[in-house]
Amino acid sequence: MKKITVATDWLDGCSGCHMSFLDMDEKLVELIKLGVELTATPITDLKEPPEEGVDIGILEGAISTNHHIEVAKKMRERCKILIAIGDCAVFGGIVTMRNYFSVENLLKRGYIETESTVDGKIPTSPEIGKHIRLAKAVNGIVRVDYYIPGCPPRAEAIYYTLKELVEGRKPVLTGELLRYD
Amino acid sequence: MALVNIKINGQPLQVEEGKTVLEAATEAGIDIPVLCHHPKLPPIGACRMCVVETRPGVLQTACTLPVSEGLDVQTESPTVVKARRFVLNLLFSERNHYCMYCEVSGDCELQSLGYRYGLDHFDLPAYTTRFPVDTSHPYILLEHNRCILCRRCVRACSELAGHNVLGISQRGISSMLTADMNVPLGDSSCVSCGLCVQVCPTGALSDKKGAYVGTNKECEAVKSICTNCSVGCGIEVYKKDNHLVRIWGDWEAPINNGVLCKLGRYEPVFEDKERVTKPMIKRNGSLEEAGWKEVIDIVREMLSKNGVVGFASSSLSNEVLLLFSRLLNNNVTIMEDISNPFDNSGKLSDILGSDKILLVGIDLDKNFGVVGSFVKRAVFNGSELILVDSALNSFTRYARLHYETKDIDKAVGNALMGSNPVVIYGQLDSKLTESLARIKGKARFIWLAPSANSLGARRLGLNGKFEPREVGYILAPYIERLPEGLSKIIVQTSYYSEEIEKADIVLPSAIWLEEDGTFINLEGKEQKRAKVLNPPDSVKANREIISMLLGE
Repeated sequence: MKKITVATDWLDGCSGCHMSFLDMDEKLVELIKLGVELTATPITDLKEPPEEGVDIGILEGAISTNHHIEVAKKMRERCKILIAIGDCAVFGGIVTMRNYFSVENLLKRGYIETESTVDGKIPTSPEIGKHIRLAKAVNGIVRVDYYIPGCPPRAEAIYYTLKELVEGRKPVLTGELLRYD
Repeated sequence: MALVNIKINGQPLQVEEGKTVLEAATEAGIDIPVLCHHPKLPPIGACRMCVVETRPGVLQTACTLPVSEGLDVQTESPTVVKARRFVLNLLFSERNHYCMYCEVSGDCELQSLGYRYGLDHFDLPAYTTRFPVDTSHPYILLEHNRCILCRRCVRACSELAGHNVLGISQRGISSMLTADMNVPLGDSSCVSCGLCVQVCPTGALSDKKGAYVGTNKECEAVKSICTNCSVGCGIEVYKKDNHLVRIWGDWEAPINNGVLCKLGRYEPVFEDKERVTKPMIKRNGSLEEAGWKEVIDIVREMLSKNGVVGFASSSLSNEVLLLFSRLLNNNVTIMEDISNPFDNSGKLSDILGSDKILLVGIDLDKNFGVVGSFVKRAVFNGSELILVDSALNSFTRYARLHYETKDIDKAVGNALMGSNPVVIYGQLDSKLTESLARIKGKARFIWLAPSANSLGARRLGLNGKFEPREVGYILAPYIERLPEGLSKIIVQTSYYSEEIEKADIVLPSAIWLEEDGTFINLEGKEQKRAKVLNPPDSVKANREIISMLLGE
């Protein structure tokens, strides 16, 4: 049986979309039986999509830092089909609420001014991504082939999309599968 | 009316001349999506959602396009669908339309159109300007970030409710929904009728309380009537798990056509008076909780020994008033003054057709708000308001003439010059009655009775001819003042008040949302009120309590 390799990663998100991915439950087993192979994902704890590339890449979360841009671009380079899952990856979502504030004020509020913080400090480690001015949807940085909105996206919608792709059809979300909340 | 032949999606139709394509389609069961349009509001063709193809490549808005002979339209052709998706993309790209943290998600018309046209992402970058959130109003939340500038609220506020508070300031991308001359909604001339919230297709205008309790889709809707004043407006009550979520005006109700006032829409939802939840008996000078059986036995004994005189509020249904009267052998009087020296000949719609409105002694922004809406609309259509009130009155600014009460004769004299005058009045003294009698043959009279069923109480003949007795039985949802000169007091009520501390027996009764019944509205028509909620444990419907006492 031909393997269909899948890699996933998360950007500025809450991991809720990956919870939905796991919420496929026995349907995930069904997909694996159909040939789906999970390569690098936060679930398998492998950090980067394999160099030889995958068939399907899945991204959760908005683009918020230079780090996210890098991850998104790498995923795009290494996958044939890119799916954005969840409202943050699809629309920008709740993450874009911070666009109303400057990055400087955002960090100050988060790390220094929060009511419970004593002697706060804005982290400066070079390993941490630097915020870009405006958080945006994944398609603001790279081309996206399919979208599964929802906060979180319904497990059934993720299953439906993967199943259609595995079986060589183009998924179109309708009815209960297309939800923005 | 002449008929014209048109085709919608190839289907031949005969439609009355003067109708719009949208109306013709709706009648034929063809669904054309709308956003800025609302069937109760005049069309403006602003949002372009309802575009239809009249000739290949030619799009026109169905809500404003009148039918004409030979018209052939397509409502879901590829060109139409493409245009609608484009419109949706534009709407979603302006302001903040992220559903996941919107209270209206599920009820939102913009969202459901996004689903209908399969928008699974935005083609255009999202707009990042931050708009204000106006929380200044006690009942209404105005979230400008969710506004799509469809102007439904503006039209509802002016054309239907007559208040003219809302408008649009600026132009183009800077357009903003504005109250009065750009003041916070809470500081504006808004009278909290809430119709703007009812027509808003998105989460821009929502109820401060109800929006956080449940969407309409999650609630059960029950049609009923409001019995918080004597107008008798049709309402649609949304409830969830025996909780009141929101009250909307019933679009189909002939008397109010969807319009409500603060008293009907918001006060019941925000009601915070403490309920009486247990029967109580006075022991050692203070009220103590007791069981139903015990209090019913005591009251029955009191009823059998002494003659008892009853006092009832005319906010109660015909059924309750009738039973109460039977229980007390017709020794029942109504607590409010329900005398009316004139024939109640007018209907609210007569106000719209009048050329002069004589308004005597009532502030319609404070009470009878829906009547106020009719008067404001009539004034904007050219009718002259003649106000008679010695006190400050919110309608002064709408009045052509404002007289002191002592100058009633001058006011009547002016009204007599009209060809179609309407008199709106409440309680009258003999001087006012005498003056108004002069216009009796000419004007239509609209009596704003003090309570929801004052007309019903009058029909039942409960006009207070009784023998004074020692024991009084008072039946009212809320008791502001108990009658004087009683040595023993039985109270049947819904809310605590200081006065009920004086009672010897307290029977906890259901509120208006918890008991059905029939009521005579302002136009003399009998209407049925539905039971929407179950009363709390140990609280019984008025009818049930009296039936128990009657041994039925």
